[in-house]
Amino acid sequence: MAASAPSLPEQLLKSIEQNRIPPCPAILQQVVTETRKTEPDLRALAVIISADAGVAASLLKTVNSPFYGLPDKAHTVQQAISLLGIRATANAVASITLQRALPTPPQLDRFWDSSMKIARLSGWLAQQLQARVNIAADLAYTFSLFRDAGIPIMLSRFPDYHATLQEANTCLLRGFTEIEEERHSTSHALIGYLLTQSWWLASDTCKAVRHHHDCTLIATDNRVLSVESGNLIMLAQLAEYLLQQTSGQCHTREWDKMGEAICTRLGLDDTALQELLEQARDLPLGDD
Amino acid sequence: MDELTGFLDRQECILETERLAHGESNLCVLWVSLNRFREVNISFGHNAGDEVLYRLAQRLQAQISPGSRIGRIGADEFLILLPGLPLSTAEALAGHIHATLRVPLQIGQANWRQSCSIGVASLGTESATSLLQRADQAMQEAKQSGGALTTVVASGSVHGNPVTILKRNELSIEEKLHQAMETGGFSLNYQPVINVTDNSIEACEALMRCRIGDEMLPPDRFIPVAEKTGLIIELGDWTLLTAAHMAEQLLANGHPTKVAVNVSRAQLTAPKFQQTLQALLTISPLPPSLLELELTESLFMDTSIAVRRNLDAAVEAGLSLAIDDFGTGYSCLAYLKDIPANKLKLDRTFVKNLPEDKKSLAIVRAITRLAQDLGMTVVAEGVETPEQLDTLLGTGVNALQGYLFTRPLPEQQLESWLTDFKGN
Repeated sequence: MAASAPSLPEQLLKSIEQNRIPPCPAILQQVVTETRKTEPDLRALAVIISADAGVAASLLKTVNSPFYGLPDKAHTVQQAISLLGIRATANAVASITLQRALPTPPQLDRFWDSSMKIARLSGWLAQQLQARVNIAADLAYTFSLFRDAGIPIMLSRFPDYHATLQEANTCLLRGFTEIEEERHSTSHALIGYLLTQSWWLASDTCKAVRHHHDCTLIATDNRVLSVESGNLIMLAQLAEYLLQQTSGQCHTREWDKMGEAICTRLGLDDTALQELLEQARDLPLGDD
Repeated sequence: MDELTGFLDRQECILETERLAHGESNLCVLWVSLNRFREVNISFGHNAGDEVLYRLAQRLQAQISPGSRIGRIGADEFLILLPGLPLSTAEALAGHIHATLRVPLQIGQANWRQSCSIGVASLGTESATSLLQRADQAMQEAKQSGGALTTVVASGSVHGNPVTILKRNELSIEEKLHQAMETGGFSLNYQPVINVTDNSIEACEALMRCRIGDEMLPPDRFIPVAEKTGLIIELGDWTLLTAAHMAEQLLANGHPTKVAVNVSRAQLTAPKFQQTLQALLTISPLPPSLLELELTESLFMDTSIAVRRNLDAAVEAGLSLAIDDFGTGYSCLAYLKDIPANKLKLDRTFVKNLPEDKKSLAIVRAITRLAQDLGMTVVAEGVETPEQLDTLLGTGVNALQGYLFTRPLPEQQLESWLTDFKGN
């Protein structure tokens, strides 16, 4: 702080610290800066990531899980980076640091558990439906994790948000974000969108977060959503449906609202959907 | 038939073009060339290269409507024939092709995003060979223009005309904007506005900058394209967010300074403007009064419900509003009493020829007086010389902005500038 600066009231400073949007973690900022260079240096990237032992360990764990779909196991950070490629490494670091950055009261344990499982299922689905959607598994995984990142923030800002969530989760006739907007003038999708923007995620991912409850956009061809954003949304929604069916977790009515359109767009008939469901039952979703 | 893709081979492409050119009144062709495809072969081997080519060909096939034909006219080049369809459809298809090829493709262990250059031509009174030649030439032009994903629409003759060139520039800026979004090419610079009544900082105006590699795109070239293509909405949200972060940082470091952000009509009329603003205020601890929206006068005079509602919502949320570039539009003074702005920024054209231009001086004086009587703060923009400064000080304006004080500063330099300013 400048020596001549007037000191701000203690309370204001504290409030700034407490209410800030989770800032882009320093390690992610360094990773993104490196990846955006014309000639990114993979070794420099490995040095940045290895400097945080926690992130380095999680990176290996994440990329070696079957949901990332890598053909080989990575034993070192450098190997992980060369297996993943640069963009996917940045996405993996974003996913790993997300949970650390957001409010994590114990009542959110189930939320995080579901989010993680949906992310894994999305990564798996991206591999299963590769020919139809052309989405890399890591991208589907990252998007699914960030998709609802606005929810913990809404919960921490609005004391009555629990009730809103309950209504939005059970109401079939109105849009999820419509209910949020009516009560809080904004929605977790918009908050998540700004979060992904300030964390420098790819533009298609940011847009997908913003629109992931927009049933009409998802059901039709339009200029608002790119093909990639639409596919990300559909994969995550399908993953959520599979999780609901296989574990009873995650109670929303979103599949009732957009499931039919998603199946049509992905070219999935009842048999194909049933097959995915059967395969998903056997996936070790709880494992790291 | 091409063995790898099952498409028409080169010879068949030419024959089919000739056949369709005879029979159809309308015929458009797209010449699609995959950029840097050689790298795939070099890095991953020819088998992987073939596999990738096959998968990309399938994506192309999926974009083609029944009745259209597709061929492989070169090793990494495809020809699409659209009989009976207008040029606009061909151009739209080119856009879809760019999008579908860009979706990452996994090659072994890496992700590959394929970009391409597309030449589009529609049949005039010419032979099939000439049509193909023009499409090929347009594709070459697209490739040479340097944009990763470029479409060039061939003109009536083989040599191009100004309309073609214009179209190409526009498309290439659009692609550059997409590229800048992906690679972090956008940044904000901040130009302080100095309040001359108490020598404090009135605000810092955030100005968007776009850099691609070593090239800086000037705002007057990229903002109109961003507005036309709708990219401005995403960019505008990003600007608001980044500016709010800056204001937070300044506040936390002892500079409780307003940050002003320019907002365009496209943003103000976009769905969810209010809700996005509210999302920003929900996640930011910034007192809303430290965020200011700058709008041109025509937006304040816009009577559409969306604009009105969004302006009211911004004011209700506690943001302040400024009329930007006042004097360049209709400047209807009667409106001033009704609009919810508390600041008026006089356009630089009134300042440019001061002190010699007595008429401009008279206008500055009169508007300043009027706006101040209506409770507004008046800012003069574009102050560049000490003589202009002296003249303006005599008019009673509240605040000044311009190169005389500082150019727009990169984020990293703003704080030290503000600290130095305070010290003086």
